Amino acid sequence: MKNTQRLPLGNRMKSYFSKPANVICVVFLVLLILMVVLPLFTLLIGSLTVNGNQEAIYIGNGAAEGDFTFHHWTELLTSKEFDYASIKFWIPLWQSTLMALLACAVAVGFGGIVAWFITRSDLPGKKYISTIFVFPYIMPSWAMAMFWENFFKNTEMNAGMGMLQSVTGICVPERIVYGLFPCAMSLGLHYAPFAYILIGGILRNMDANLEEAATVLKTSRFKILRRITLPIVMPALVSTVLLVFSSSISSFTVPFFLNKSSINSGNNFISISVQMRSLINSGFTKGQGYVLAIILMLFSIGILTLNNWFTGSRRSFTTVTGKSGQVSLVKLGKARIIVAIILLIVVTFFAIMPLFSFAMESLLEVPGDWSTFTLRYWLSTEAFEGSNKGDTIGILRSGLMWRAMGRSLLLSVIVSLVAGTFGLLIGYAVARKRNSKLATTVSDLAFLPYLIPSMSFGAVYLALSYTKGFTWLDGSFFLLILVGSIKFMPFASRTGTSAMLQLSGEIEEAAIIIGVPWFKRMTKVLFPIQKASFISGYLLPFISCMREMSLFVLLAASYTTLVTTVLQEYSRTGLTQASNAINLLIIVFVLVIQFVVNKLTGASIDKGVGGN
Amino acid sequence: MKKVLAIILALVLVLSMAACGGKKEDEGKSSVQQAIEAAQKMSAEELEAAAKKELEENPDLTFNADSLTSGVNKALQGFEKKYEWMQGRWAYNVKKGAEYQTKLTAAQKAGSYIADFVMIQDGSFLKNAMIDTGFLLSYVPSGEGIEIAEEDQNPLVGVTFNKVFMYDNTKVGTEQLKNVWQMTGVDGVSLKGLSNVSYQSPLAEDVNQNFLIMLTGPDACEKLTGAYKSYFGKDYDPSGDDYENIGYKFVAEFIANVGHWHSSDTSEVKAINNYADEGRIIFAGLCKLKDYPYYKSEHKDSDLYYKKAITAAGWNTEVEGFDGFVYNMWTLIPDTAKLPYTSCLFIRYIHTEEGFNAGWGGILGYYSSNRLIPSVEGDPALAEWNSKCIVEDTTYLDSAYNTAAKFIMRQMSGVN
Repeated sequence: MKNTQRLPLGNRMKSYFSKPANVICVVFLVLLILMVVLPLFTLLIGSLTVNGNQEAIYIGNGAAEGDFTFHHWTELLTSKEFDYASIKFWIPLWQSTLMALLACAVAVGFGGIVAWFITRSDLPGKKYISTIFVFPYIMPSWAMAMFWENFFKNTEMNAGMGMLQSVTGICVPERIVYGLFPCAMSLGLHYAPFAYILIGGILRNMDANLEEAATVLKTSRFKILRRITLPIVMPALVSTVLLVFSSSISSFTVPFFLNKSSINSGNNFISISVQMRSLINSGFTKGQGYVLAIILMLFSIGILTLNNWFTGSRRSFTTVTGKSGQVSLVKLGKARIIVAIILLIVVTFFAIMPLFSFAMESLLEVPGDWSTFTLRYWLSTEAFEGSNKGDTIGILRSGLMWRAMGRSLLLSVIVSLVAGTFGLLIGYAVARKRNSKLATTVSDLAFLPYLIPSMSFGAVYLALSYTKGFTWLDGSFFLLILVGSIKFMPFASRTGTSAMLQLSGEIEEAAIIIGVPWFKRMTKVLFPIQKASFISGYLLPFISCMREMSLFVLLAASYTTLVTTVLQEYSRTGLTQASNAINLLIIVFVLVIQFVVNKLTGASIDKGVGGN
Repeated sequence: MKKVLAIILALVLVLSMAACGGKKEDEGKSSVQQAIEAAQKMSAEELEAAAKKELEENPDLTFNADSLTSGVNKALQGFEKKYEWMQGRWAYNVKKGAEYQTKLTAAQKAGSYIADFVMIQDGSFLKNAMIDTGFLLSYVPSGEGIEIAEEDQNPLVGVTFNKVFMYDNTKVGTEQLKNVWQMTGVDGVSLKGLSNVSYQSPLAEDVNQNFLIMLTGPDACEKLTGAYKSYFGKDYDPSGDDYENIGYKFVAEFIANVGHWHSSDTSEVKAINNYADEGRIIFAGLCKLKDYPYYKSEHKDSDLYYKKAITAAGWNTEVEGFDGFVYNMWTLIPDTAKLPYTSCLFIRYIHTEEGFNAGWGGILGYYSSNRLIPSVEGDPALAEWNSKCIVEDTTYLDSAYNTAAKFIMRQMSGVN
């Protein structure tokens, strides 16, 4: 160490940059400052200035566009006029926090339990359960909300007859259908596969010797779970909570869709994200919207800090040592069949029924009216009402839709390759330099895009694309790739970090000793060992990118650019059957891709967990 | 650490300044302004020649039209048929309200090209962010067959829309809603209160927010006062409650009484006959009836389609108080347009009967600002709607937004 300090600067730098982890950290630090810190500062600046004439009118007192002001902060956090601050901010924040925590509990509980049964028990039907359990995550989150409403709504609340009522005659209370509880359930079920993927990936790779040693010492099953299994899956658990909480609290579509009760019913629930969207969308209150976005990010950063405390301290989460790949399954005994049946029913219900619901919605002219059954939204060669240039024909025959699907696929593949590789590299650097501040900073910065609302993130890059010198970006496919890669990198960096932290340093050290170069170590040693987890790091951005709407809606050259912008346009113009059909197609495409990846690489999201 | 922070801040400052772009200096009129002024003095034939020449001189350019309404797309198809030299030289871009406002604002701040023609709603945004900054400009067509009221000229109104209270005639009959105070849920002297109103949340739909704010304005208060007396058989006594005026009282009681907050006008109107016995009273655009596929398939070979739709989904044009809300969509040219003469020609086209009908003809709930173009058969004239509805007023919206929006939010929260 002393000798190193005496070396000239050039040599010290050469020595520093001879370590791949250092190069990765520095490169990504620069990249992430440019790509992530700038949007964040733009939000901050927006929250402290008058953003246009409408805001100036709202603020009054001679305020003018561009003026520095604290008004957005004081207005949103303290205004007592009509209880504005408490109604617009504090109450929604409290209720949304409850909703997000409940969603976390559902996701981690449901996903974690299923992951444990799949990876650590002798449950029958694993392959089927594992395959379909990820379906709800492939769907857009509002799909589960739509299914929830379609299933539970009833005539007692004048909402039309839902599936449950039509089959059983049961009318559930309104609070089951609309409000905070169904929002939390829909989000929890949507993100449960996420918990399943992250927790399951670690459980699968866990060295069974630890549990077996405890069993030999006659430790109780509960104690093994509490003292061995839970601590080992803790990084994945905290990552899951972080991701689910952040996603849930900023979810707009689900609370928007499931808030239809009358004010007096007591079920009316206006989430913080709905408030944020309405504030940002109004020219009068854009600055307040930025304040809310910043506060939501601070909330999530709090959990991120907790996450760092778990992974950054001296604890060790190494589970893959290269010394043992042994996995022994817990025998469920008589409960085996019962548990399997319950899981099969529950998982099938939440995975298959929404798809069925989509299919039905695309086949009926009038929702719920079977006499209006039609295939025209799939197969018609005649244009629908309100159509133009003949592009709104049956989606299977629509060149516009197929071209958009092709572009979406291409975009998602590129984004997943870029984001997945970035995430893997960041994971490697973070794992190798665990106590370094630089690595922690890079890791945190890589996660921040997840916390920035999609609309705001898109808006910053839109402004950039209109700036002189950058106008070549406007409407370009490259801009979509750039924004998508950054926005979806957190998925990959989280999975990459979790997987790398599990790998013992000894494995790479052995390769270094025999002179294996870094690239070869990565591709021939590290990647193959944790292939399942890394492939998840590629597949998650792919899935998210395929169904992303709000991030790209500002940046796409036109509504025909991507399949989700086509879907949104069909939905907006009332062609809900066609938009449901497209939704179904997206899910099918993702499943096909997953199948192809599985055949080519032998890995897939569910297989990574243990569906085989 | 401090150095790193300083570098980051400096970097961000430089990039932020770059992102702000340079504001256009006031050095006289832009080329687009000059083109519009010239077009204003041209005959239809001269304008056509100028537009044709403009396109021929710029073979790489496409005429880009941005709009929320697909009527523009249909009108462009008619435009292409009428002017064959436009063949394949245009593109229609669907642009949704708030998202498009973000794009327009970014383009205005950067002084960048966004489109050659823009059709948008939200009067307050238009005035404050686009007209006052000089980014969107008006070309006012004139000549034979075109008569546009002065108040609709700057900014130029393209199409006017309305939202009314609709319901399923087959279940509730046309006589269900006769006085707006019924929608507060309180029984009147001879009419019953109604609790089955379905309204899209003002948090998600700007037009609905603007309607509620406009209800607190002087015109609405006058209408509400008259209807109150008729409904309750007595004059409204402002000393009896704490509301700023009768409009605020109505808004508070209306919001509290809404039975269902729907997420999409289009889907709600489609399902109008799907609800229980008393049905729903749906506040939605009259033009949404065009998407009633069930009736269209039933009567697709008949010219009576829209009349059939009217029979199914009814509304009362004689509601005491008001029938609904009237608001505009404006047709404008960005100051950075590349094909301004083509823009003027297209604006002129959609203000002719031929052009309007190509885009919006034969559909309920669309009204041209050209007074010589009648509304579709079975739909009252715009002047009649204006007299019976609450009409969007940008000046009032701006002045009342702060207080009224907070008041609405408080009612929406259910906190008393």
